[in-house]
Amino acid sequence: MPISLAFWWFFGREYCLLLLQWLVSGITDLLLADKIVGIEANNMAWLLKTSLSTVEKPLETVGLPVATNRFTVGFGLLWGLVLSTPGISHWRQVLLGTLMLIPVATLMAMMYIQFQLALNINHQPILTEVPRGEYLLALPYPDYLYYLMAVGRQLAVLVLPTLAPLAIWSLLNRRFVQGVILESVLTQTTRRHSA
Amino acid sequence: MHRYLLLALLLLGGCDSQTREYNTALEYLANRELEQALPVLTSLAEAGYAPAQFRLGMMFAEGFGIQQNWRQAAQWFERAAQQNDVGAQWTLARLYRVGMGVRKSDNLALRWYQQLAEQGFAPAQFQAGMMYREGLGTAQDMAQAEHWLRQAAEQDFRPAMAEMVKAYRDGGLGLPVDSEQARAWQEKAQIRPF
Repeated sequence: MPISLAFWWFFGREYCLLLLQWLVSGITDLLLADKIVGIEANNMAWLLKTSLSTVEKPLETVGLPVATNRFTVGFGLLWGLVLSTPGISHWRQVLLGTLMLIPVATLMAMMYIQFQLALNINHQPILTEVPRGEYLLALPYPDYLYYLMAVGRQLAVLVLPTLAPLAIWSLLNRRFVQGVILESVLTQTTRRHSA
Repeated sequence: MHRYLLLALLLLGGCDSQTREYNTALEYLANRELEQALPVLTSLAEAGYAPAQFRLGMMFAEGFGIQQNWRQAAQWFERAAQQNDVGAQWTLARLYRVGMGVRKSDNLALRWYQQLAEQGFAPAQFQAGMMYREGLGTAQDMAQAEHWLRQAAEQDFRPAMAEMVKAYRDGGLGLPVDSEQARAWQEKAQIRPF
């Protein structure tokens, strides 16, 4: 696992991010074109270029920074899990797992981007996030939608980065999970009870 | 099924060609390529695309790439504001307040502020509240003033929170003096959740 994470950190994440940027740009073009002009890569982070201005500077548009490591760390975790599983075709599973994780990572990025927009438009601190100082010239989302987007942010930042690779690995190695992990847990529990 | 899919794709791809053109113009503006941005914005604005009308109005207002012309700016803001563009409504209200490019009218300023305020835009709620408090463009109405200032304060708009503190401390806005409420608003204005 540490080797896989080191590989992701030094080599993998840059390419994962390139692919994600391409996918997310395509989706924002379709779904959020009225608010997002484009996404600019800026040293392992993204700058969301919006078409929104602020009350103070209505001629200029606003850029929102987005940290990206959480969207791609799942790839490192997945590769580590796959490569440490004995008796399987590692390269096939790395490829298959990566393909399965790409849409999930894209969804995570989209949920986080949508939340960043809502946070700065509604201008109300929520969770651990605080909006930028100026008010944007846009109407706020209704409260229920804002909270829903905050749930999406929690999924994108806290839940999915670790749970998604684990779920995909379990799906690809159902026999291993049942035969080795569940079996040993059951055996241990039975031993404990009989003792 | 295929028909619906095709329709959805057509809607997604076809309906926002103006948005795409507008975004291209914004890229030009960001890169200071004004000669390229201006014709795109002008043609979109003339075709009735509200965000382009607002942006073009701002360019006239600030003399950005074109001769400064407040009257032209106000005309574009007016057209965009009629289509519910937030930036245009906000800026137009400010122009009516100071009388730049339009005849000064507190009454019209309040109308635009109130329209935005009703849609939940906190800075406009604050402005509407202050105008009701001072009786600008309307008769003085403390109940309306308190309503809009409270709405803005509840959305974390700092100047409105400060007004709520003052109102509860000194008994303004038709509110009774209440030091506990004043302290509560003071704390809310200072403390962030994390």
